Amino acid sequence: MASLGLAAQLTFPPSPGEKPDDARLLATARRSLFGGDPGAAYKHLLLSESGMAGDEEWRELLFLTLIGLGKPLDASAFVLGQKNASGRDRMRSELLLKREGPAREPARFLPETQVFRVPKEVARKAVSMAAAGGSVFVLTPEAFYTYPLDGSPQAFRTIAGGKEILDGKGEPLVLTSSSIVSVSGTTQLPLRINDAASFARAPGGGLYILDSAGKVFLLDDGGKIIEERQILIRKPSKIRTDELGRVFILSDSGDDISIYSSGFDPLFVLDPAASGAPVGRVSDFRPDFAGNIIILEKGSKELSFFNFSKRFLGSSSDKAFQADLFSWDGGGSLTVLDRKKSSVMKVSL
Amino acid sequence: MKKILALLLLTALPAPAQVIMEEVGTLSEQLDKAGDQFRSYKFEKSVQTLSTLISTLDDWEKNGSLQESDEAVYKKALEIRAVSYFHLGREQNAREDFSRLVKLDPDVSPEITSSSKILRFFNTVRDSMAGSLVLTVTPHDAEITIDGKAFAGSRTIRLLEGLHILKASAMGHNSFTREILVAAGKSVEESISLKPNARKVFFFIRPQGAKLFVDGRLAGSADVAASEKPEWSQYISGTGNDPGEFFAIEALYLPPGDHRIEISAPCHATRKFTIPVSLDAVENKPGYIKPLELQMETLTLMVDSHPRSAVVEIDGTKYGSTPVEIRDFCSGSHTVRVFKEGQGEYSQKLELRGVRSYRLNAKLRPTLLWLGSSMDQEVSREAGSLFQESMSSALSNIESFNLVLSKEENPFLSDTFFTRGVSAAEQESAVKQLCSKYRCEGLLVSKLSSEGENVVASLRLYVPGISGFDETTALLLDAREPSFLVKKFDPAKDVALSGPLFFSDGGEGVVVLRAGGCWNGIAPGDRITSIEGEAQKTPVEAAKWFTGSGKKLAVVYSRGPEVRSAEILDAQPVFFCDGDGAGSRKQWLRFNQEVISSEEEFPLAAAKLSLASVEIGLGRPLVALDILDGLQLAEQSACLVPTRKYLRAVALFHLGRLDEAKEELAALKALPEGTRLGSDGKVLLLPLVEDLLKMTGDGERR
Repeated sequence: MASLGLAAQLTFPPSPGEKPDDARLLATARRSLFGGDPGAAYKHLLLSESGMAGDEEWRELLFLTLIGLGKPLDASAFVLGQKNASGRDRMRSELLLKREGPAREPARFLPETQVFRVPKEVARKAVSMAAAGGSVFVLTPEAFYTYPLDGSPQAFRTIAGGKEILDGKGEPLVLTSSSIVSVSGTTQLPLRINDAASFARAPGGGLYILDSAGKVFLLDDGGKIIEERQILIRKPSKIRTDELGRVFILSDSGDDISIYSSGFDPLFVLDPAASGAPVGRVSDFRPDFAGNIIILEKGSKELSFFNFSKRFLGSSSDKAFQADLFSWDGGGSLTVLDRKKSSVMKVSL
Repeated sequence: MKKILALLLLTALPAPAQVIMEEVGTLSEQLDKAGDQFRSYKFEKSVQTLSTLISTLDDWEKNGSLQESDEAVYKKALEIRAVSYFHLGREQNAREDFSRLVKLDPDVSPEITSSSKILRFFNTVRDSMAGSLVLTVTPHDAEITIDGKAFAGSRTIRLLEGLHILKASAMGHNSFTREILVAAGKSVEESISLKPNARKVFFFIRPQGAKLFVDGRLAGSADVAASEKPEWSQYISGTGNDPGEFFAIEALYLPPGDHRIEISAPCHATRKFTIPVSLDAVENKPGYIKPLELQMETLTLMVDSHPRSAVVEIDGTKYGSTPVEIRDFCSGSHTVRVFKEGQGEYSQKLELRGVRSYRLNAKLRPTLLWLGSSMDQEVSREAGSLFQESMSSALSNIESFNLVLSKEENPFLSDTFFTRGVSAAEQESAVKQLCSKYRCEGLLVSKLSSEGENVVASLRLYVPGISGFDETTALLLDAREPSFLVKKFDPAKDVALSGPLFFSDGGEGVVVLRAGGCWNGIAPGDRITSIEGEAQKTPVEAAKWFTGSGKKLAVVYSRGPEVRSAEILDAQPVFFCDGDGAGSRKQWLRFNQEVISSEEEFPLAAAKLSLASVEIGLGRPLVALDILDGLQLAEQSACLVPTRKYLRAVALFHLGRLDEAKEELAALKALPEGTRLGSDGKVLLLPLVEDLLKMTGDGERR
């Protein structure tokens, strides 16, 4: 078996003796992709193709790698060209075509008629929301509320200083300025983190924490700091990631979003105002799996949709709802909270 | 068998003890001597002569060594001695001998005397011991056995008193078994009529030698002239035909019901039909099928090959060089071999029936020798031989190669390629020798190994002149089904990324999702509205145009509001080797063959690039470089220029010529973002170029 040093000299096509086994190639591809080098990931995936093309992880990595290489249509073609693509893969492939394809579909932001009420006090104080598993989660500075949409009783838990909810995989996590709270317990953040402001999932199971001093920390599963870097962005307020591990940071000062590779190399800055979209001040944003972004405008309380190529795909400006907070499943479903009406509603993209 | 009767006389002599053997003659000589004495009325002498003989035969009978031929002698000896005793007035001795004779064969009658007195005496003895079975059997030719001894047809059979097992059987009839109780001196009658269960059927066919298949199985061939048997002649004449011109096939007894009949002969059209067979409850006479004459059937066989000018050999006869057209060629099963010295061959068994013409386009391919399978001691012999047999059959169906079976007698030869002590050099030498002997380009050998409760099958390919081997392994689930292993070995693999792809967004035409590598600038997102003047409505419809035919296709497409037209190449894909071990050698054989046999510019260019990629994978960058440098890319193959440059850069990188590699890569970096490696759009070029540049120490981080 070739050593890692040899693997670093791997070419496509390879020379005999230098090619490690397929499992190692796959691991290297994963590291390369989430380390910000999709080109190297691509090569390692090609080298393991004949042995791993039927492997689910190989397919997932190639799909993400092609997106990372700026070839979303190739990623989509890859999925559509497979005989046994899963429903999830097909859905993501179709979303790519809609959002990055030649006939980009305008975002519709269609509100559903059914509206769910939350107590006025909760709506007024809400700072973050999420939706997952048939429930809506609302966070205020004092408590974390769970509202099951099937009408079963609501629940709440007192959490002082809650700032943000992270939904999606497994149980929701709540960030306070000094801790991360989950159903299973509370993890104190290391002292080096000064007033945590926002957090996001990092590839490989860790978390990125953005603090008020503009530092981004990468924490492992146990809450230990693995990496720390100073971000040269004025007033960074929110940090998000997509499935490739690319990092998106909102600047409250510039109302723009700086986008970094998963290896933290700066890629580009999305300035919504410069794209001609009706966006002035950005209060929040969410990326989907491929880095397409929905932005919430602070003043108008409208949502705007941009693809990863910075193209404006539409807004909710002509729709009869306003959003103070929102969450997005990355597909076609959003949940928005309207403070004024103390309501939560579903919106189809 | 002639047996020697010997007497052993032991004499009590002082040492050394002596064994004297006195030969007293053969059994038949003794019997003849006794017969002579009997006929000379020397009854006393005759008894004496026979006593020794009978005593010996008694012993043989007792210890079970009495042979059938001895039995006749034994019976005759008893008969002569009994009659001699009778003449000597020793009736009790005569009775004893006749009793023993009847026990041996109740059906026997004394032949040596005509004396009515003695015959009456014998009958008295026999009637005290045996009775008669009066047997009538239908059909007459049924086989009869009583207590396992065969008897012919209907007759009266004398049997010792007691219980006997009677069995009767005949072809086309149910067999019959019954217990028969026979009383001494009594007669018992038994009438058996076997019940038919099948019917004999005769076919009369022209031409001679035609083969008859009943329900898919060969039942016989038309070899005997119908004129040879009067009943056949009479039947054929009755149908207005000449019995001398038809040939009979006696089909097996056919059970009642419908039977599929197929009659075929070389140069004649095959006849297929069904016959209903019913039983004749009374006599079940044979059924005669009306005379059948197969019509002459010939065809025009056209054989072409790739490359051309290859020798065409059919059933061992040469028919010239390709392209060749053979008129009035006999229909039937033929073995076709098309070969060109040094450029491969094609061999196939063809069933040419029911067509007026047949066109064979033989793609010459490498020949592999199938050496057979070695196996661990833990693997059962039965599994081993089943696997061996089914592998031979499965391998012969691989499209990419011809297969030749080893006729080597050394059963351990296949172990040479799996035994640890055998050096690579010895293996290479054996491969070279065997491939020279069998005129093959590669050698296949397999092994069944035991891993716990599982059996793992490995298939190795050795190619003369290339070190190492390709190995394909898989868990053997069923020794009769090795096709999974062969499928894994077959070069045509199921690739995850392949060829152009389209989707429909409801607008006009189809949108390109993945473009081919030789598509003249058409890129993902472009909308193709027509190909070769035909409007394209669905992705499936559009995809059908792209088969790697090498043809140029006129395409109309739009990019945004702008309508454009272009000529694109439906290119044969370039293969990129992803590593040594699993399949480099088989791909080398495949592309080496294509390079040798390609006559048109584009397939040749694609094959050379594929071969260069495989040569890199085999650790021969210098050979790859030679191929790439010798490759002339004319206008039609211009789309492959980036591929050649990239492969050159990789080969140069492996040769340590980094500056030259960088030069190639720098030129490639200037290409448009969507440029593809190869010709089918499968692989993105620029990420690989950037990656290689980084390794040469000249890249930029993304």
